[in-house]
Amino acid sequence: MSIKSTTRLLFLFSISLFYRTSSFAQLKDELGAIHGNFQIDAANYQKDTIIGADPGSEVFRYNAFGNINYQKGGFSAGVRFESYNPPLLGYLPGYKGSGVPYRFARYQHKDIDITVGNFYEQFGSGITLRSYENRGLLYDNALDGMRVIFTPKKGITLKGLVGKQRTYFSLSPGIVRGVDGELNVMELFDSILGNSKTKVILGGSFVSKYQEDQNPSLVLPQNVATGAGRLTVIRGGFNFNAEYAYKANDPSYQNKYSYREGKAIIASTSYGTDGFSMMLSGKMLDNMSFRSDRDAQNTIDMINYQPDFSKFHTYSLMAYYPYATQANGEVGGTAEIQYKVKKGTLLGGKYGMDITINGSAYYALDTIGIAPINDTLRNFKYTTNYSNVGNEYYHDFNIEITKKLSKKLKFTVMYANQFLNQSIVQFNTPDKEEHPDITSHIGVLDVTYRYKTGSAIRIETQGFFGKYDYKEHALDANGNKNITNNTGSWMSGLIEWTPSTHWSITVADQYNYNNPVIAKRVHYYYGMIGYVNGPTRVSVSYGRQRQGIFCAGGVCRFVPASSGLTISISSSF
Amino acid sequence: MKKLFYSIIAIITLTIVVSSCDKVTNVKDPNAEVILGNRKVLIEDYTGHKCGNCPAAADVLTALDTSASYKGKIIPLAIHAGFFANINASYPTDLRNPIGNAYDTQFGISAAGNPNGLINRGGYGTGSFIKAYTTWESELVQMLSKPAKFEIKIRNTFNTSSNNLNTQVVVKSLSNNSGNYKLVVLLAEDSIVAEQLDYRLPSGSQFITNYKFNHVLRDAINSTWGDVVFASGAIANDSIIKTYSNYTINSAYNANKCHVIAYVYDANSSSPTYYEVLQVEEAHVK
Repeated sequence: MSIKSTTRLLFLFSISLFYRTSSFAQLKDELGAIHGNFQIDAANYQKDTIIGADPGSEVFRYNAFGNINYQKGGFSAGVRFESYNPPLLGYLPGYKGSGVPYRFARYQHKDIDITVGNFYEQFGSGITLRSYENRGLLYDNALDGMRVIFTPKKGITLKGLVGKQRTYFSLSPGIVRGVDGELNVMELFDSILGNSKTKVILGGSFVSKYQEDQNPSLVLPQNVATGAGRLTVIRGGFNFNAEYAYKANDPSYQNKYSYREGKAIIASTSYGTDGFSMMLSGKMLDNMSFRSDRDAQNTIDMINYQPDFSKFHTYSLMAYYPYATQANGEVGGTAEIQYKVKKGTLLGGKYGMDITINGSAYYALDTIGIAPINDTLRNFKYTTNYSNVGNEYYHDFNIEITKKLSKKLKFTVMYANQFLNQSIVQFNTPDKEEHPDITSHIGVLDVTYRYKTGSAIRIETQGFFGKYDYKEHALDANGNKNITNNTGSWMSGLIEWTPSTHWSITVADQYNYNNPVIAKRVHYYYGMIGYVNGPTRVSVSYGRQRQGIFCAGGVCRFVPASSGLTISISSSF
Repeated sequence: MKKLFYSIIAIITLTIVVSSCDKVTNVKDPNAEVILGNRKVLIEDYTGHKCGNCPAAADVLTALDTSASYKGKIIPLAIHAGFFANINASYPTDLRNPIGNAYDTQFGISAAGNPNGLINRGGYGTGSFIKAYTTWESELVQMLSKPAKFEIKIRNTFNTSSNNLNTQVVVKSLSNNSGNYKLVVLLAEDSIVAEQLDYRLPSGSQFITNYKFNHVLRDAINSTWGDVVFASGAIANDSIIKTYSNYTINSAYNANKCHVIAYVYDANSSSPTYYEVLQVEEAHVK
């Protein structure tokens, strides 16, 4: 395009802008609403040899995005701009770049709801399809295509969609097609059954992906389907959910090109009444990883979501060795009881007391390998003995007590016993020499003192006491044991001062006080100043972050230790 | 109206259900056939001795390199870089070098995980740039089917007493090519015996002390990103000769097992095939 024509275009554009602005007042009522939110997280990293932090030459990194959505009546449209040049350390480097990976237009009118462009969707528990984003993890598998939701009658919802999934700033090579139907039995037969106290919801979904077979030596299924049926029963405080799913042959990088079918059973039940609630969840997943690109790694191109019921810990040392659903299969469950001790009782005192007891245990499937010579036609690789379970992957038993002592003073005390089969869960190997099992006792004490309205001081102390089932390796040149995956035990302390509702100041330290390598017994200090004003939040922090390993599907990504200055800004309108 | 909606949805659903599942009863493709062009393909295996999943990828590379279908068409290159290539008391052999580290950083491989590879560095800047080893063969076949734009010839003369290598590389344009092209000349070594972790072995015996490493990148004979051979395009049959004299091979390397790898790549940063290796060749040092 010549400079002349560009100038002319700009001129026309500014005229149209002017015209729109001048007539804005009259159109205001008909314009609808515009909303948006923005977030920028930027870091300037520095080299910190003692913790092994070396950011390389790209020391300045950031993650930034902005959503702008427009709505008028049944019509809505929106865009999201994202920019990572390059992304912060520990995020997938494929996101490097800028662009508009998300834009959509949607129209809802009476019984029909149509979306073109990008959208998020979930069928049932997500075991056949879940398209969602998690900005903290930089996980985004938004579909790009079209979706129709049709509600022909109260109590019946039908959904149909076709699209390709987002892969960084481009799209996955596979096409996802899905249908879902949900029947709210009571709503549908309201006139016959009257206002029943029990609600029954039946659902079914079917999802298929298409990806071309370009493998010169194997016959790969180009269309792979998965289907599921589900049931929900609700009565008063009681809630029951169950879903069964089946997946046809789906050789992938994840399952080492096994042509075996996949199966899943997921069930959860909960009951809640005044001051008491309980929850019980269980699952059995066998070869249910389902991706729109059969060779995708890490957290890319996942069509479905294999639910994780283990407790999400917010205290850092409780979450030091977290669990993640094993993509190739697992069996286990989680139970939780919450009880509120009433005011005026011996334990409850003047303000009552909250007790939460939570337990999780997850195991490998009991699989039996098939000798390759007997497995030439179908490449199943293994069979599963469903009457038994395999090795333990993880457990977490924890108890949390929160009590208000006076109008000003409140405390939380928490204890956990955790076990992690690190070699399998994080490294996909039975080798316990490199990656020992870890059993840990973790304690937390968190005290908040509100010395006046809007002002508080919070003090938090944590201890992580780990036992590493370790077979030791040779000594290195400095006479230290070569133990990269044994960091011993940790202590941490945090003071958070909120002088007013606008400001907060935090200082924290994690101390690796008995790392087997004496030189690594270091402090991971951290300081932050935060400012909040309405929807705007700004924070500046400085400190160290320890290294870790993040694995998905046999490929491990090293999340490096880092050290430096971080600035976060977010706002919305 | 509603009946129409019902019918449309029913038809769509039925179409999807009927067309969307292929059951494979025999996994081996009886019509496996590969059409080859005159292009050779650089397969880079980004690896590390502490990466227990990496020997499986190395085996795939060896199988492709020695298969009758692709023999002589593949130039393998193993790049040891990133966290899994770090050394310690149990893994003292350092197979890293600044050249490989620079490639690993520029292409973001170890940050995405090991093992992973690049096929002729095709697709730079796209989500499918980094290739899982399970896709190497299909990616290779696609790359091989494209016509070669250049031809490379390498002539090595090696002085055994001084360990000095003279390398002459002739690059000839096979078609009219516009753009900016660079030549990189590397040194790689085979049959290095050192420690490796291999998760495919039973627990307790996964640490191998005498694993054989092939195609290991050792150094650049010119430089990491090379020398310009055609700065502003080339017409068919244009040739250029680059001579690299008196390159001393590190005496720690076994010159008998060393070879020179030369590749020409698209060095135009605004080209859709930026960084793609357009031709590659190798020749033994002696």
